[in-house]
Amino acid sequence: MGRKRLITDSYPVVKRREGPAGHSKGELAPELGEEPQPRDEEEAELELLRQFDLAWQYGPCTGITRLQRWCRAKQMGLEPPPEVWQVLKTHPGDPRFQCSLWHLYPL
Amino acid sequence: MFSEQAAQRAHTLLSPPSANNATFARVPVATYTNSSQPFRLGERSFSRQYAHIYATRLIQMRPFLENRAQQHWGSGVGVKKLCELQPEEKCCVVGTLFKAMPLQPSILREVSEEPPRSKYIHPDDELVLEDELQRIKLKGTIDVSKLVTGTVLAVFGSVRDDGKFLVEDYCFADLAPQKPAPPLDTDRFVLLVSGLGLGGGGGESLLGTQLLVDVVTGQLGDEGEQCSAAHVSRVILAGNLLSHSTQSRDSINKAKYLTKKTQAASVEAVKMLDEILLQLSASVPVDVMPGEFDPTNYTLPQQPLHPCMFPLATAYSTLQLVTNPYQATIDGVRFLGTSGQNVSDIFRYSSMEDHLEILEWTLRVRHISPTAPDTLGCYPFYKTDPFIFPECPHVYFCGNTPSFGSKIIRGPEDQTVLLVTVPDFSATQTACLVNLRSLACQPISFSGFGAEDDDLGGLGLGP
Repeated sequence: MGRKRLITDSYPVVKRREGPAGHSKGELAPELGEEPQPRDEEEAELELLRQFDLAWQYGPCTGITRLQRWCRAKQMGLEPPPEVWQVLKTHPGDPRFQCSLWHLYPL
Repeated sequence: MFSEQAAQRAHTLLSPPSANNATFARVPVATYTNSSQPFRLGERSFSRQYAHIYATRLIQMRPFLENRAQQHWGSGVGVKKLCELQPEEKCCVVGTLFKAMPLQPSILREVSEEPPRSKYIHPDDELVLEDELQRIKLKGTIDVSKLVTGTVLAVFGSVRDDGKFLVEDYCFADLAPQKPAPPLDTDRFVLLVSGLGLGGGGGESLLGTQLLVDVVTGQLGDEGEQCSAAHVSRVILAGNLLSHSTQSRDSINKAKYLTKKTQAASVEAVKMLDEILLQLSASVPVDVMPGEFDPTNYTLPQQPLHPCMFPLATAYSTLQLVTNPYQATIDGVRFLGTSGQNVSDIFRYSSMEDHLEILEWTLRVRHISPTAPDTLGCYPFYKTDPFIFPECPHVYFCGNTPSFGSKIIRGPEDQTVLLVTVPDFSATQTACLVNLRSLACQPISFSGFGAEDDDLGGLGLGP
């Protein structure tokens, strides 16, 4: 007989890597291999998008996608940075890129 | 005007029938374009806050206000943001007004069941100016009771030690640029009616409505009146086609077994409306705008009534179901109007008493309804604020006012606008005739009894 079915079996099992104190913040230590470079670039792009969200000149960022906000800023003549549009075009459909910083919070 | 033309013709009533009867062809509408596209809603998503409307409103209006500020106070005046203010330095700030009103209806007080007041102003109201980042209280030469929340304006003054901004002068965006209307060679009239109030149970107003329909379709009066009626090229029904009493929701509170067979009062009223529209649209192009008590959405901009409610009248292509607010160009004359919710909401929160004065004021602040979305329901737009005037109309009207009024005003760049407050027909039995050639407006009043004339000439005519 297998072990007793627990209610927690309905949740996916996620193993958290607990390093010693001081390292738990993260994987900033460069690892060898190809993986970190795309991730760094991605991080930089996400950071650019987050700064775009927080820029007050283009109006509120909640409740609309970043592309909608960029297009609105362009139509009003506020000259939003074209790099933001480039990043948004290269990652269509990815909610981390397309949706605003607070899209997980209700309204 | 209308009645003078009628008087010129020979009398033919009560004479033996003649072999050839006079026929009058209605003046054709040379050009008509419906420009209400900004007020049509496509997708409707309510998962957005209203901050977007205010932000776009300020961003769109800022350049107009900076221009006006330079015209009023010299081109060297510094336009600053609130965060850049230095104490005791005279400068100009552009921002949105917010009026803190202790009497403003709030959900907490609604629970205590206070009866609705007609005005919510109070001597303790305070004005606050907000720009993109900060807000500041205003004091000084600014009329707190007259202004309402949501107005974008430029104030000139300086910030004081107590943190408030002392206002010396202020200005609004004033009238938008206007394209001149092409001159017309014949008299053409547009009839404006609002507040038909069907389903209200009053037989008196039904008679008035039928008389109105008969005058417009040329079935009333002698050849003179018929000839004049043929000059009416369009009819605009500006809202509240159904009466307030059709909205009673008593059946919701009653038990189901009592209300099973009752029909909503609006069903009967819409059937009556369909018959009236059938008579009208068989003869003249009609534009039907929804109002506060009509079966369409509550928030502004109200979408057109659904054609399935008018099975008889929609057979005619002359029937147009349009939005509220409504904007169109009729024979080169730009019309813009609402069913009155914007003006009556400002009336509740401002000390201004005259609806015509409020109508003029909305034109001067360059916004159809500044109190939306604060106290008037509004769709959460995010791209633009469609209630800002992009262009100045030639005729600006609002429906469902307590009395008729009309005025011609001039703008700083020689704009000329005819303002019309269309009265509530169910109460006043009065409609308005706008002459497109001379831009003058005349009330036309219907009585069910007495030997009074049909037309009242000479009231409120322009220069």
